[in-house]
Amino acid sequence: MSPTLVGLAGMAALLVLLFLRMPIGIAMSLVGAAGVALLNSPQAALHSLGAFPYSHAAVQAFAVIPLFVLMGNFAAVSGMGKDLYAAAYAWIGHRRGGLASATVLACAGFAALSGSSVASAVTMGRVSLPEMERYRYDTRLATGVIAAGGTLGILIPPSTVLVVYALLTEESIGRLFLAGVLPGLLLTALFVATVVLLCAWRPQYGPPGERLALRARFAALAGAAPFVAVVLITIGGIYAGVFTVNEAAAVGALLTMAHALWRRRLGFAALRDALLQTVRTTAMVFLILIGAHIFSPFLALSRIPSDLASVLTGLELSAAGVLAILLAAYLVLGMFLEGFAMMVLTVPIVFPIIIALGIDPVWFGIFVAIVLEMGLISPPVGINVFVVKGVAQDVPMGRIFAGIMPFWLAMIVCVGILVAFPQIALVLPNSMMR
Amino acid sequence: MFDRLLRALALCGGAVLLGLMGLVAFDVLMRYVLRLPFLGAYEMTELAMALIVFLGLPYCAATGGHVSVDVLGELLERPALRWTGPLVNLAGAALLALMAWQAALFALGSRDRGEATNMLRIETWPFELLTAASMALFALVLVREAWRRR
Repeated sequence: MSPTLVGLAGMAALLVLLFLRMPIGIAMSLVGAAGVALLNSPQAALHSLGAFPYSHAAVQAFAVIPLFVLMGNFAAVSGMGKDLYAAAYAWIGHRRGGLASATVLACAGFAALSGSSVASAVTMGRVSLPEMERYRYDTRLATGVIAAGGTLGILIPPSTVLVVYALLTEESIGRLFLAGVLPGLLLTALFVATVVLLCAWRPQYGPPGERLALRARFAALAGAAPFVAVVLITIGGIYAGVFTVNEAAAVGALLTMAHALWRRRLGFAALRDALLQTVRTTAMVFLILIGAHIFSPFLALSRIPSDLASVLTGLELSAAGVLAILLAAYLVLGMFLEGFAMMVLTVPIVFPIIIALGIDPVWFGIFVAIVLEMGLISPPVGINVFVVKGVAQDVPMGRIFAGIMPFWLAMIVCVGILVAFPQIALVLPNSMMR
Repeated sequence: MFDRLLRALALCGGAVLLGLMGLVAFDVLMRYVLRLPFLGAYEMTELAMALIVFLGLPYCAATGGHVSVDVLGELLERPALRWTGPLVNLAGAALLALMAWQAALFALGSRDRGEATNMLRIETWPFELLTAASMALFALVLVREAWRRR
């Protein structure tokens, strides 16, 4: 059998195993090892099974993953999410759709503490959904805005997805984090604009909330000060070259832990749960990473990525044309695959094409992150939708998906703007101090 | 009992993580305040990462934390297709058992070569052996899962 044929058979086998609900990391290890055994030698396959788990976990640069996850979990315990929502509410809650806009802003803020979309959606859902129900918001708008706002978690740094992209493509984690900042703010603005437009069109969707006195507004704003401090120190520290990414994560985790202790929210049980949750998430990410590293030599041996790259460059499509094809492919995949799975499966295949086309790999990381976000909220398996469903149990799935549609369109607009103006992603990493 | 063991292991991983947080933050402090970089921090981070990941892996598996694709979930729960669940779990267990065995061989090999970290000369084989033990526990979790879903 030719390497290409073995490669295609391997990918088909991988898809079958995935649809049979085998964990992604195990399925990739199984198919990758079998493929390497066929195309190279059984010894090489056994070596990768024995050596790669340790050698791809015991890496200094990877400490950023558990440390930032820990920071997000401490932030969830310390009530920073609630403070953020209160601050946003105080200033815009009295406007039409103001509670929904405040939810978007608080989600964006929480995303700067947490690298996970699910954590953002859960935390902000618990805080803002009861408020929106109290003011009789349309359930579609209320649930849609939480599901969509939660996805900002993987675009605004720190982001677990961007870390994994950096590890797969050997790009700098710090540069990818900085590249996510402005597109994250752009998407936040687009989400707020979506809320405003929706409520201008159908005022009953988002009745105004209570107007607060100026003194109360500033008090709420002061409540968000610890959040501002943590974000300035961590992300600002990376930008200014004061901290490495690992150091920013460790200092950030320490500061959010101190804040949670100071607020008397972090008892023994809460600490134990935060640690268990962090270790569990870390193990989940690393099983996938280990699987991806066992799988990728097989993919390279099959020569499918390089063949595909030369075919696509032979077609002499424009970069924008290729990106449009990739966008369409990702949107279809996003309906069936979970975000991490989609990334570890596609990036090794797509990355050579991106390099051959001369597309900036950091920019492409941001592109992938936004497209994955869209997958997180597309039917039938958008994971954020299930998270929101968990918080808003009496709202039918169909209504949640209907509520998401306008925000999904806003994401398409965001991708379009980024294609037209790639500098939005690249200006910060390119001006980063060293 | 087994679940409590896995949870205890994961908590040990959590304790290592807290230590790692302190270590990295302390390293920053040393560098900026005392201008004394702590030379062992790099390799201690490496070893801590191995501990955190592999102490947590079986716990993550036992609590259903590993990501899988659930599109066909309802279809696969039908009586005619119920057998796929245990089969997939057993296939995973077989692979993990193989990985545990290979990782143990890898650990013994590096003990024989006397491999250790650069600065502190900490031998790496116990950490590699932990990888093998973690894979073996993971395999046991999957076997139990196959038994439960039979």
